[in-house]
Amino acid sequence: MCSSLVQDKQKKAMEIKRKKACKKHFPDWAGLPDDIVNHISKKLPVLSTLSMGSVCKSWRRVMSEEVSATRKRGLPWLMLRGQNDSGVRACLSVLENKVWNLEVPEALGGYLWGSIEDWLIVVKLNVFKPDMFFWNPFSKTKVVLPMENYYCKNYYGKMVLSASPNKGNYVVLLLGGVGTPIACWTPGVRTWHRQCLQGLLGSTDVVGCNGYFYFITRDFNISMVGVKSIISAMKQGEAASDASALELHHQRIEMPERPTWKPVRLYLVESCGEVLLVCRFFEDFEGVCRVTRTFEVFKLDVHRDRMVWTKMESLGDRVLFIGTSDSRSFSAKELGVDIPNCIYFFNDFFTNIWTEWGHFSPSPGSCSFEDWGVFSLDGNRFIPNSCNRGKKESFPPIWITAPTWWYFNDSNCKSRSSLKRKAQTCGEGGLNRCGTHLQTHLKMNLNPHPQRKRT
Amino acid sequence: MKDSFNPSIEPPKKTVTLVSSDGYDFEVEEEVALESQVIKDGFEDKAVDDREYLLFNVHSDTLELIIKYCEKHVSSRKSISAAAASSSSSNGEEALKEWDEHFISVDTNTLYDILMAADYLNIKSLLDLAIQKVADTIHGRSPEQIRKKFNIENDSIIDPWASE
Repeated sequence: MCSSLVQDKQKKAMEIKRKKACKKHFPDWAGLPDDIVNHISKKLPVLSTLSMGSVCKSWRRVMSEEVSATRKRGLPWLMLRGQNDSGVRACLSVLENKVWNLEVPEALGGYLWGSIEDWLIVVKLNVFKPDMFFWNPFSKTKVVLPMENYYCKNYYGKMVLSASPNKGNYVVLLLGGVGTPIACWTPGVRTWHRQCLQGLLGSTDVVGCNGYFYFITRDFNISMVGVKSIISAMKQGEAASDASALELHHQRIEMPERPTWKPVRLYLVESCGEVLLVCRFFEDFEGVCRVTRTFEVFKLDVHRDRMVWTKMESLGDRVLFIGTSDSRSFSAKELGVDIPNCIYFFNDFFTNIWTEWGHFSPSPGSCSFEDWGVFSLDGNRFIPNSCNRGKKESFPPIWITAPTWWYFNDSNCKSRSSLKRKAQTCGEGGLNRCGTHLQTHLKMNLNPHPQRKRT
Repeated sequence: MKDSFNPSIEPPKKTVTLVSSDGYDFEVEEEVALESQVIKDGFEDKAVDDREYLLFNVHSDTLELIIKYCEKHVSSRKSISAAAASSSSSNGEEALKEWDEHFISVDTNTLYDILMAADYLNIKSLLDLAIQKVADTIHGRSPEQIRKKFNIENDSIIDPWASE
């Protein structure tokens, strides 16, 4: 017992001697243990994790393993339309304020109809083999949809999904103008069905939320249809599928502060499990077109067993990105930007029945004007310098969510950089100009309150 | 041991010796040393006269700070629970938070040493504090600014976030 203690003491003395020689080590931040790098990145909002991930290889490696599993949705991007002859599309990451040229070879010669999360809806009008599919430009996966009849298709302006195509059980809806029956489809069913949702004519917008589709009419009433009931109706076959099989509720919605101003465009947005109604009011601009006048937001509430549209004075931490195809809601804090309580809007057409390829759609630049920017519900004002009014150059861009994991994929980085150079040397003309245009605009907006920040 | 729960009878303070990597001895109270999960694990199995720990990875400068932190936390915990027992209002937790914030406001080299020591000794609250400080330092900075701040070399062949 005693001898072992002596031995220990000797050992200790030797160790100390050795350690004294090497003194204090120099901090090696790049060599931080993996779990510490992980911990740090989890404390950061999305935008800062992107910065952190590109500091050095070792951090990047750790984070690329981590983000794919746990990291949230990603960042809102605007993808420009109109580059049908190119396999590369210009995108603007609005919060990073960067233009990415994203490789979308599958969309070459096709039209981008819309998006859901990180998926694009692509339509190709080849004469012999028309094509309609979902394409994920980040994971490079494809889901083929049955082709809708060529003539009918022109009457559909909007496609809505109950959930991302990543999930197995989802329903796709085609929404058209007045009098056009809603078409629906689900994976595993051969064709589009038109009988199921006959009772829902006249809906101006639809959104999927908590297993239901919410259809809104012009007088602000809502019809709810259970997604599962649509799936089972479709799977039972064309003959059996009628409205009686559906879990369908028509609701008269009370609206104490009903908007009286017209014209108005309604957008339904799913946000944190709630259904929001964004009313965009227009006014005449120099007698030639309509531009956005103001916004009002309502939340679908249940009050004494009745549904009510409650006016929201503030969105809180939420930021809304509204658009023709797929509006989305983010948390400003989670993203890491100081822009809560704002609505990003774009020069959407007045109705959503027009498509880029449709016979009845206005040709770009003919009758519409640019009308986009950022609106803050804090004081009900447009963020200064954020709004643009002028002639429109192309079909309005669409929102798409760039997933965070994509940013940490090294092979993506390489191809992205080379693509970027290529696109710049080629020169993308009007579209690139549009991108730069947007970029300067958004640069001014990233810090809506510069004075406050400086103090 | 049971007597320690009775505040009227103060047992003699037991101490532990911590030896830094550069050979300095630090004699600290047992409960202060037990803030470290590494020391706590297997503490009871060690003979009372052998309660000496060689901390090969912790320099004396850092160890001094770590001990300061642990002492503060042990003493504030006591005063907070005492205040709660006598149901007198206390802003002890607020004050401790403020103290923590001041404690961790150090240069990046010291921050690194504290971070590594807290990890090595497994002192959870201190590790959290240091990690939060690093996260706060990174937040809102560009990759280049982060590299500069932490003196990290740019080893990426391509920097996808470099602005043209």
